[in-house]
Amino acid sequence: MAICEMRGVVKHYKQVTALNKFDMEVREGEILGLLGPNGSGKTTAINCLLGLLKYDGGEITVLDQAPASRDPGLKRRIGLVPSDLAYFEELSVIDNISYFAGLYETNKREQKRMTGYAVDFAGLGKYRKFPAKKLSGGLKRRLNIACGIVHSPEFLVLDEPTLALDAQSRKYVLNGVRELNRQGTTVLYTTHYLEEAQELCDRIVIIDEGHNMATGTLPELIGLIDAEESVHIELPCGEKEAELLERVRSLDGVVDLFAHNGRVTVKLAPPGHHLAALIESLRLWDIAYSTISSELPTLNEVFLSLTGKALRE
Amino acid sequence: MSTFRAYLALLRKYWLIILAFTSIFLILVFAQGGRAADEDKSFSRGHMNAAVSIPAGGHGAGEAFALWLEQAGHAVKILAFSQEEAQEAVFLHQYDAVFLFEPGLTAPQAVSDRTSGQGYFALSVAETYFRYLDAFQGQGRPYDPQAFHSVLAEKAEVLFQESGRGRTVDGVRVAFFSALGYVLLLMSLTLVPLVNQAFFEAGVRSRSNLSPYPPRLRAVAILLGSGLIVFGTAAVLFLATLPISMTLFSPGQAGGILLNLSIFSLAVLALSYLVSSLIRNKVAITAVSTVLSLGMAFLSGAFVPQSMLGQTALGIGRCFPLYYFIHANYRVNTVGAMAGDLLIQLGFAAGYFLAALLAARLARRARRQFLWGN
Amino acid sequence: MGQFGSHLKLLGKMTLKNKSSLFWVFVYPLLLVTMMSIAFRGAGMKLQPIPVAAEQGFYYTVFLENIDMLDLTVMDSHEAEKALREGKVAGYFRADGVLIIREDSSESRILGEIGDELKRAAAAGRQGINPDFSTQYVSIAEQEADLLFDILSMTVAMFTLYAYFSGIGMIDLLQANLSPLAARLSTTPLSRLSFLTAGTLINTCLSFLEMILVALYLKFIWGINFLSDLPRTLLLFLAACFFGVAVGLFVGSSNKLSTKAKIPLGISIMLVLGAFGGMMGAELRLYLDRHLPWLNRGNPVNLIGRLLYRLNALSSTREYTAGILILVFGALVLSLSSLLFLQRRQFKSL
Repeated sequence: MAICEMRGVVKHYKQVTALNKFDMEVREGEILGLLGPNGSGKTTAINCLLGLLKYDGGEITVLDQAPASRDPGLKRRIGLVPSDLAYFEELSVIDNISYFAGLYETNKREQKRMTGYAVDFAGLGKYRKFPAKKLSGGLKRRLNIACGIVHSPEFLVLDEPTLALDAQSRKYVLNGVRELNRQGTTVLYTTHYLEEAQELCDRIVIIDEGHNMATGTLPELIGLIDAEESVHIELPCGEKEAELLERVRSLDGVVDLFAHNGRVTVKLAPPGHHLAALIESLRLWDIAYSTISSELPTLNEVFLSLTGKALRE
Repeated sequence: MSTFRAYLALLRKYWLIILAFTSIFLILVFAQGGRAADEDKSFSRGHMNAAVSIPAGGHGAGEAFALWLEQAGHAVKILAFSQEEAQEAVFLHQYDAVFLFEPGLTAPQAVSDRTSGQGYFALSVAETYFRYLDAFQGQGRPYDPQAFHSVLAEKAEVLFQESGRGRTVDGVRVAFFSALGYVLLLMSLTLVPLVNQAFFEAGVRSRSNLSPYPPRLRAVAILLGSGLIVFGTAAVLFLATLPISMTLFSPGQAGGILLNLSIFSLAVLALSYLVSSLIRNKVAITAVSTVLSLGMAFLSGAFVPQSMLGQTALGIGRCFPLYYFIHANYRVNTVGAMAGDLLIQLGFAAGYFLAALLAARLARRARRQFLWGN
Repeated sequence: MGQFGSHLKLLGKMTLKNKSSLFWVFVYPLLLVTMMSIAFRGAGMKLQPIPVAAEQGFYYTVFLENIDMLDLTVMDSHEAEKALREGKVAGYFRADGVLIIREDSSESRILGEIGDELKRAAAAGRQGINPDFSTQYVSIAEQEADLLFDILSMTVAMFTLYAYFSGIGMIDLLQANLSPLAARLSTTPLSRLSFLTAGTLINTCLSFLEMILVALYLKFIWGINFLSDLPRTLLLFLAACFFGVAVGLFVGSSNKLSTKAKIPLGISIMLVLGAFGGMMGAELRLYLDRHLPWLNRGNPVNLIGRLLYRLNALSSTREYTAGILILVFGALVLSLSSLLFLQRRQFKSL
């Protein structure tokens, strides 16, 4: 069942078309990644589906309703963690979270429970009384998330929640999102960090210049392109390098081959993985190696192939 | 040049503030009007601004009194006021006196502030009229209105002492330039710190310091930009309202006025620069500029003539360059008469610049200690 | 009550923790009235006895001695000339009755009027007419033209409208295109009516509290009493503060300007309205009253200031009820209009 559907959505700004017949479907229970470079239309898509932006064409439904619906019931089921920090700077952590809890629940006891849950979720227990503006960057992001999930939404939209975070904080956030998903929340997660999308998302939508370039799981996306697998073989003290090169050259599917200082790189044509087969071949040839590794095509290569530019441009 | 260009680009962002404050000035100027300076050296007798309240059915004595006041050169308005309305009109300085005529009574009740010069004058004029009217109408002889009016028209001969002046003060001119001074102060104290603040943001400053661009050159460019704001504002305000202001001063006074304005602008530049060195927070800048400019304006006599201010106010006002700018505007006939005020303003300018340099040096030292200490 | 209570708590805390807001609401008005009280205390055109000289042999010296307003000294012509040159006298009467002055001032004009009076008496005497100088013909109802009170009335009136800024601040939290927080709040089931009501209540009360503080400060520190008619003045403050918040809500919600633009716009407009009402001196207001009376009729600062001085300086309740009704009704209309504007939830850009 689709929690959210966008079909042929068009959105123009004055001189720019931010969304150009954009399609997207978020299925119930999944974590859908919306991946694209800066300026590709991710935030515009989110703002349209949340009913904040007018759009110029197409259809959007969220939880079977139009996004601009004023039904408080719909709003209770949706949560937002925007990319900009959006809480009350003058208030403390606990005041912020309990205020947002109060918007979704009138029962005081339940509000308290929700607030406690959100504080624990975000790991802000030690900082309850801290004024929000005095928190560090990582803690601010966590507060931002806590305010968005306090009501355990059915559908959670996170817009680049790990922006400017260190690795530890980023890991914390990703774990939290996974946990939420495990508890039943459907997540739409936008990012321009491909590692996050690879690690976290069940499916990925690649967006560029307002178009949906591709949708699918990671293997499905990789399968769309003719990208090679790279296998790296390190030979101890460069022994038998010449022999290895000769033998590998004779194998089927070898697209490219080069060696440098005892390290041999073999590029093998898709589809599939060739690491196991190569290891077996090395064994048969009696060629010892100190390390062997395989590098599969990344989303960056997928993106490059689909759009003609790297994700990080 | 890149710093200066950036300065101009930042300044353009504040177009709304510039428009708002310029509008304030234009409104103040419009209200002052284009009344011409009076160069007449003859003595101008006192004139009152009076209202004569006459009941609906008319009042002969009241109408005659109103007519006489008008013929004698006073400003008179005939209307129907209650005592409450009359009191309010006097309270608000709408009229020097309101004369309320009731049916059956020849002489009016006057509502006026007797403790003020104009109120006292108005009451004495009315008292004179009715005293002589009673004298001419009574005392057993036929009333001769011509004789009555000819007696009232008697005037004493009044001469000026040699070298005395017909009008020492052109109030309208001083009020006009006082308003200009206030708006110049307000705009400069707001815009200069706001624009400068962008260059002093921690990240921008560090980056600029790491670049090969000479810091002195950067400081000069920022100062030039600040100067552009202040002197540019003064020039625009002056030129935009020249069609009105040129009726307020003679060609001989123009030089003095421009010199005074230029030196005041220098003092304002220095003060704005000092404020921008001390205060970097945008919200605080708006607060300080509003409080400082308005406070200076009130205490220096920008809205009310200096002669009307209390001694305490004047004492405090003398601590600000605006006071001397306004004071000099009273004496624009010769540079010599203004010299003291001009020199004091220059002294303020020098003092503020030095204070700004000191503040900047102390801030630099504090930053270095912080960095090295950590 | 649920959301309303949360909003009350939130907005109250936010205002009290926001240093900028505290400055503009509580500190700035006290600073400004202090400066104005210092500036205008002792100001005005209060008449002092006019120093005047009469040359020996001036016929009407005795007459002049009987005028309380004059501080008369009889001297010879040389001394009189010197005294005039040095500014020790405003003028002197020569023995031949000619008045010599140094400059055209209010004092010299009064001396001129006295000189004219002497001429009239002489002319009347020649015709056998003897005016009675012992009778007062014109009865006088004293009314002090209190410049300071007048100006402060308009200033205090302007302060009541400073609740405008809190109105702007509320809209900043409700319109998605104005702040990320507003965008977030737009996705929640926040009730705008509840938020606006709570915000209006809190901000009106805070502003009202501030006005009481200013009034008490002026009364007990400067001796300027804006609480002579306590109940009516308090009601006026309340209505005016409510109106101020409503103006802020309306201006905040009705156009596309950013919050950063609306604030200096508000400051400028308040200053201009205050100036029109006479906050910067009576001249501008008098000019408008004479030539553009319609301009001040719609000026809320003028309306509030007028009611303030009527109640407290003139003990008059004229137009009081009408004034309160205008403020309250106007506030309701503006608040409801802003609620209508806020119905717009979607924007062309954020």
